[in-house]
Amino acid sequence: MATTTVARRAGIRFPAWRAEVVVVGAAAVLLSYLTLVPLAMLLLGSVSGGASVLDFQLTLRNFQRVLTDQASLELLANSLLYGAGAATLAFVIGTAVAWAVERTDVPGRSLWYGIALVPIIIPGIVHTIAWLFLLSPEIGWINAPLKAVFGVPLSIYSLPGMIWVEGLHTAPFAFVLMSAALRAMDPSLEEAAAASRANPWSTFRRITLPLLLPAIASVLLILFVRALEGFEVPAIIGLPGRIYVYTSRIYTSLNQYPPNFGLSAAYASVLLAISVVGLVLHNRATRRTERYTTVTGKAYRPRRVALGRYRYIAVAALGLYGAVAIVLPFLVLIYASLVRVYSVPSLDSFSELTLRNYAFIFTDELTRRSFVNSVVLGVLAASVVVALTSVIAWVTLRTRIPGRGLLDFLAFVPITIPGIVLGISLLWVYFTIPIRIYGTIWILLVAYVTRYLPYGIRATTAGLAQLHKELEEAAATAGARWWPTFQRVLLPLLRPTLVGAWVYVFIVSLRELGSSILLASSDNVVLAVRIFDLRDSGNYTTIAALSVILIIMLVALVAILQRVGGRTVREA
Amino acid sequence: MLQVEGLRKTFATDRGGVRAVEDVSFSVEDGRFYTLLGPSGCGKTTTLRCLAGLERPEDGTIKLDDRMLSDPGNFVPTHARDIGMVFQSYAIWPHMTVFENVAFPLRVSEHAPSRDETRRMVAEALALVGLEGLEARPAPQLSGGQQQRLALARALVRKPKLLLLDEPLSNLDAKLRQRMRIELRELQRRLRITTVYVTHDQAEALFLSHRVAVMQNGRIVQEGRPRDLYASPASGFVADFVGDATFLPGEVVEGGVRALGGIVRCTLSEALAPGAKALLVMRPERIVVHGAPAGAANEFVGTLRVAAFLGDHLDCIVDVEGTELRARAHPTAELRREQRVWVELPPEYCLAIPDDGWRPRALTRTFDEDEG
Amino acid sequence: MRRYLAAVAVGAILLGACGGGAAPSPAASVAPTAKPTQAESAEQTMARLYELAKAEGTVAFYSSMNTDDFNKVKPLFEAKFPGVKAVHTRKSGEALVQQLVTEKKAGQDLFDLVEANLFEVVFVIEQGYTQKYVTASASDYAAEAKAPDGAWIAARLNNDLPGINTTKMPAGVTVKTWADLCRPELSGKIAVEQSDVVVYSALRKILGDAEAQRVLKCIAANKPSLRSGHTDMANLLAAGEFAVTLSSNGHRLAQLKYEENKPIDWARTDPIITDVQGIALSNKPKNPNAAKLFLEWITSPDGQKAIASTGRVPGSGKVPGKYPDLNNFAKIFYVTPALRADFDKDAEFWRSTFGIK
Repeated sequence: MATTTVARRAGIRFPAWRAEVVVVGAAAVLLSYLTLVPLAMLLLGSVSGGASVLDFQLTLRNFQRVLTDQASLELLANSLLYGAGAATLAFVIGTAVAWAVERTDVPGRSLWYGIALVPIIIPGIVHTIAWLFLLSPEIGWINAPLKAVFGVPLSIYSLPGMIWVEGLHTAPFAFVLMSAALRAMDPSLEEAAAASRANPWSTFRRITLPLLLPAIASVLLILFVRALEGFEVPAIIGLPGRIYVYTSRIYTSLNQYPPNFGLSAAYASVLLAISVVGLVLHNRATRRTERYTTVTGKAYRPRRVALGRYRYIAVAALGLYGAVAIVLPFLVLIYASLVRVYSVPSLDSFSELTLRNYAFIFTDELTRRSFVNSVVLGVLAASVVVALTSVIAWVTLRTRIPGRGLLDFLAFVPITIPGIVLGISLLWVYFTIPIRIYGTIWILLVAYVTRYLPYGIRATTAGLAQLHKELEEAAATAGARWWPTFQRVLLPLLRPTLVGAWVYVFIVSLRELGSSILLASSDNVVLAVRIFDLRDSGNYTTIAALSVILIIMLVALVAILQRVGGRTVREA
Repeated sequence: MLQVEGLRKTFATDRGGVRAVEDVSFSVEDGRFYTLLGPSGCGKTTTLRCLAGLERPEDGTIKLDDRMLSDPGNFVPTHARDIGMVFQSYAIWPHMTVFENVAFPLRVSEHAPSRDETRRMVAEALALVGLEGLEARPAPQLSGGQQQRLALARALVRKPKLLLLDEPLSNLDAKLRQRMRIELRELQRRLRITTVYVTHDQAEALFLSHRVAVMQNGRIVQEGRPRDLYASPASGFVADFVGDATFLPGEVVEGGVRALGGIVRCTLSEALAPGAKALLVMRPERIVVHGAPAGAANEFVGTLRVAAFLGDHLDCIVDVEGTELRARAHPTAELRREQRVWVELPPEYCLAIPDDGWRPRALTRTFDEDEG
Repeated sequence: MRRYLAAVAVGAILLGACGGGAAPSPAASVAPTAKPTQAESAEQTMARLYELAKAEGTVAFYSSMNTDDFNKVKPLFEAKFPGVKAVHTRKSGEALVQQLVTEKKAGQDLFDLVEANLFEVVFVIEQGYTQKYVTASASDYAAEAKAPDGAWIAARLNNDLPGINTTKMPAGVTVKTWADLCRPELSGKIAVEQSDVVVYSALRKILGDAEAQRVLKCIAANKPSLRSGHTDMANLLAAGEFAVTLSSNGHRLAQLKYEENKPIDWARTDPIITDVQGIALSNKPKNPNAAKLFLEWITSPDGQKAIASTGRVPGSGKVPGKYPDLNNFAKIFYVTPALRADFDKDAEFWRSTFGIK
């Protein structure tokens, strides 16, 4: 009994394991609500003839239509082609830049490094619209000279056009993954080949390539899945061009009256299935290496290839990439933001430059509201994700509570859910359960938290795994309870990781469109949706102004935070 | 006094439960230095972590003086135990200065001392380990040895009743380890703080401890004063672990054991009667190699296979009747490979113990310092 | 979706009550229908509602009117009724309907007023999401521009005209009627708003089923660019992205031509299609008084002048439009709710013809 008193005096009200079970139980319920419930509702919704899952009437009509529709094969083919094409393009660009920066002596490496990363910050919808200005068949900047010379313009409203825009936008992501893979490769393996008298080509073919193969496979698959789940390009380029992929099809099945929520859910289920298959294959490819692929443990001093006189070609190629990926889109946006009605640049249009579009942004009620909503949501989503995943990571890595693996798994599940699929799933959830959050920012918070849980869990788990467990145990043996240990030891040590994850989630939340497009309404409109609506309204020049402001803000924000918080974008 | 009774701890793994600690009991008198010695996976660290409250045992009791720290119904959490602990990695908090690291246990305690008192106590603890004047230095800027001292100061600053040390010297290089070993011993003897120490290094264990418990597969297989363990190992495993040994299986005969093509005169452990199977345990440092017959008892003729100069002696391997023996020769002896030599086995240093079937991994195995 | 064409004759048949076959605009054919029971004038009604609306502070106006135009209307309302803000949720018609239906299904009442073309608004009305409300100024409106029971009223009328970029037109091609869009010279130079089923429904009435289908198919053979949003399409037409559109809003074409000095013209078809834009009041408005206030105002002469100032064609017969060019069509086909009877069939034909999934 002496012990009981001691324990009570020490502030322990019930056995430690029971407190843990409460925490883990609560986390499991919350995670299930965030991930499993929407998926279940989606599947039920896709086979329901009723208006909600509550008045469920089994019907296979939707799937019948999805599978037997004459256009379904075309839809599948388009989606796969689009995903594969964009993934390949992004991979080729990203790998080439990564190789140049990581493994050659090309001059100005840190400059190219920055140039390769900046496009990550540009929201997809902004990037896509910039390319509309550049590659529209008749009025695109790039097309005007092409037409003058060859007589035939390129059309962005085509599958290759979509692949180009999406691939270009995803290339920085490929760059990050591939440069990590290149950096994680022990150069002595190649040196050993050289020492065995292998020439550079056979070293590459027999050592470098096989070693990189799992990384290549996993990067290609993740790029493929990302391209498939993108909404911006299919909606803004695909719809006018009549090239449908799953994301745009999900959207258009709602944009008819009556809106067909069941059909939309059925298409979403198919897309979800493809995405799951892709990610399962991806996990297979990475199983041999490590689960948290992007965060590699060891970095080696790389072996750099001396380019000799090819350096100038390399610099020119990188410069061209920078021009195409950053400079041209940004310039066209600046120009478009200064004219009243978009037209090809001419003496006339330059004589009529105006700041009207900027004035509009600062006075428009919904734009202001969307700005506030986006920032608030970004802050909330980032904070919730980081807090929640820190707890889960801690439970997974630091305790032996039964079921901890399940938590980790549940937090990782949403990586398979494309944004628009999550959107339609959440619609079904709130058609069914009487929690009235549709139309408020809370439904978007639910969506964003769900979407970015996997990023959070990846970052926090990797960060915590690098912290020796004994650092916390030492605090306990020094007499510190849970809270002081957390506050004075764990939190300060994890701060760089947490800040990095926070900034990443904040930025991606700020530009999220896929799930927002179905969940945002008048009160909870967000920036990306506002841009989408403005586009629908034909206000391209206004969008250009908004985009310019947005890009400048995001770049400034990242620059500041990177200075303050250390590694951010790179981590992301 | 620390009393541990019937301690038991199982870890769940993919292959089911693994018994990490199996019915471990021991007690440590006040002011004594007690060492848990054993190879990796023997349960010594788990036992120590149970003492710290970092693991919760399934069964058994842990009592410190009159206070029950752990029994099947009650469990005092780590932070409420009056202990100090030094970890294998030191676990120095890299975001704090030296001062902040040492002051932490004082600041988080329920009766946190005043600022001046804290400063005084920290200075005192740092002085104990010879880190005076480094208060303001960021912890990551310390050398390995300094970090080790800092960890010790942090464990001692609260003047705990029990000091727990988990392989604290294993991350230091050999020279530094030697020096820290001496300092640690002096400090413990001076402060008379009850200490439980975990190591796989028999030399450390013998050097530091009042008593040593050798652990194998989650159990304590032998416990005693260092010299008793060395002189009278109860099993081949203990003999092998505590000190260097050569083992020879053989049959007990009157006054010795039949081996090496003859009779080896030796000390027989009590349980052995003529005809029984025995294991001869011989310490290489006691086996002497001569270039010519010395006429001593227990002298055998063999062929010198290896003779390596190690400064204070020659380390030799001698083939006697097909058995390789490790032995020593005087550093100045002129010996050549493959020459005939005479090996002297002093009977008082040859011990025969019951042969339980245990065999060392290699006959001439020396202890591997790096083994975790 | 949004535009209706009604040959005056057809309009007259459908809407029997309308006086006069040659009505050039609804203004001329004002017929005092249902309503006037209220003794209050529009101004009195608004004054009364304003007192109550101040507490609500905002009105949520879901409308397919483009943002630029609404931003010209809004300040006039807010200046007259300080403290009541009009918040405009702008989407193209189907997106607006989808959002509204979603909100209702999710148990939320977020909109106060919805404005879109008649097909869309009547769909919303049929779902039971709105209530009837007869405004004080309803008597200013022609029968084509309001439901007699107050289910909806049209504050603005969209003329659906083929838009033309005069510099991009191939030489020797003129567009006077829809069939002219079949000219092979226009291949790849046409744009179609992909939700304009209403244009086809109207063409069926104007040209007859067979001819309407033939025209649509041969336009589709010219591989039109499918756009979403009429303003967007008109802007791109002005920028030179295409030479001609199947159907653009007359007022936007006029704005581009007269305000922005773009090389824009439009085909004066016979008849022109007028797509009536109805406003309906939510059955559970969040801001009931502000909603009614806004509805009263936008249909009152003041509000109608505000609409006219944007260049749009006001629904009230009492307020003339800004561009005479848009007021002098010989014959007008008004889109009516009745035209929606075959909507599913028409939509199916429209989609399959243009390859919209």
